Amino acid sequence: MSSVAITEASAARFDELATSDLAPVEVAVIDSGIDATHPDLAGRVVSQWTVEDEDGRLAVHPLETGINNDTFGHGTAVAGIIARIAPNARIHDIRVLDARNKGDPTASLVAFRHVLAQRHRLVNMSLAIPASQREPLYKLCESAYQRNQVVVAAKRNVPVTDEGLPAEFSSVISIDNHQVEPMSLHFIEQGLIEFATLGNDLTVPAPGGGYTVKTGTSFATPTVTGMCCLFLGRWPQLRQFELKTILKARAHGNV
Amino acid sequence: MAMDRSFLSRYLGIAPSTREEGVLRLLLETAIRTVDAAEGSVLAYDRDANDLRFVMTVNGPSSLIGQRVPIGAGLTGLAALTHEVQIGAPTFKTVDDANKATGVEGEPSAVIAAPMVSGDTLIGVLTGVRFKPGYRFTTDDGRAYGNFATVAALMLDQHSRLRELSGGTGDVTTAGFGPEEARILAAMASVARNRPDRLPRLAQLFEQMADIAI
Repeated sequence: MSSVAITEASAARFDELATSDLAPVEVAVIDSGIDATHPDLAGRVVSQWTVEDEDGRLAVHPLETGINNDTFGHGTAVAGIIARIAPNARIHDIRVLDARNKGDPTASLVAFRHVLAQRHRLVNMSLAIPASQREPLYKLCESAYQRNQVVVAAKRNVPVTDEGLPAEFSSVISIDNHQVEPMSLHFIEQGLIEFATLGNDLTVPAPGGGYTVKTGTSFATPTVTGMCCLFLGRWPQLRQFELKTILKARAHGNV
Repeated sequence: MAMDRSFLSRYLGIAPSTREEGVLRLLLETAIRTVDAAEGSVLAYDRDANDLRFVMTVNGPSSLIGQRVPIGAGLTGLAALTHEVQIGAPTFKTVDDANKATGVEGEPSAVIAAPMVSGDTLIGVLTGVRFKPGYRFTTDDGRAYGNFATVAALMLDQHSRLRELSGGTGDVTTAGFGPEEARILAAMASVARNRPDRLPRLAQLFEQMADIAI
């Protein structure tokens, strides 16, 4: 990728990028599912999946597209933020949170393998995976990096034992929630988490067609996923480290 | 302060009037004051039923105690499954209404749910509620509530481990021994638990037996 493109991307206005000619970008949302019937998400969710038990082991199953696949509202809020920022996002819903699997952390690993196989360019992980899954998750994120698939992951809201996995890995773009201007970035000089953006009091779509207000790192993360989706739509050859370079330049330049 | 001792005992392993119950109540009261919530509650995770149950409330209706909350929906379920603090608000029909946070009198305007987790084990969820229209919980509120929930979880986990070590089941005290040694230790633990007044006589008998054996 030429340095000219990186310079352009570092200075581009997001509202102008969003209305420019953009290539579609496949964005996987590994979360609680998405209400694809919500008016804000109509036609934006192009596939829906769920991770369920199959003969004693978890597997990814396809669902009919265009359904309400979210009983929590978390994934719908995340997808709504991405859809609002990036008109070129083609959203793939992979539901891993389910009462039946008791939030089994390996469900996220199964979903991750599915996303790698599907070669989705962007992966939003607003969920933190327990530290017991650190090793297999690390390998999956390394694989994503090598395949030029970009993982954007949330820091834990209340880090006790870890900052959040996979956010701690250098192979992903890690996001915290800071009180900054909407669509602006802060580069975190110290620690494992790299960037912060606004995740407070965000008005987001809720399952069933209404709107609610959410706060947390989970909702700062899709903002950066949306930004990356715009960059990749305009400059598809960008690699993950180049996206980090652009995000850091924007953080320092307060674009 | 409302609570039901049978629920505290059954789901959190707290016997009536223990210090742990008092500490849990203190933590919940301090947590809701810290984040300026109107009400707070403790929900315990019932592993067998895979749901949450109200076991303690502060300033809230005692009729909640014992009520089940499904783990597969809502903010408390989300906190339980993700092991993350969740901050939320009611659902409004339009973006404008959500932005203005025009609430309905008597209905919650903001909710916070913090998981009580020790290691990777879910123990329950600590919740807080506000009712004033326009009031929302902040990230700092989330961190504070999360910290209180973590302390509550650690306290209950330690309480549970101590209970096991002090002979609640005998499993821990006999670990690492052979079957005959385990039988003797289990019998002694049973006497200590049920008839502590007989322990001096038991000790005397063991000393006599040791003399004979040697």
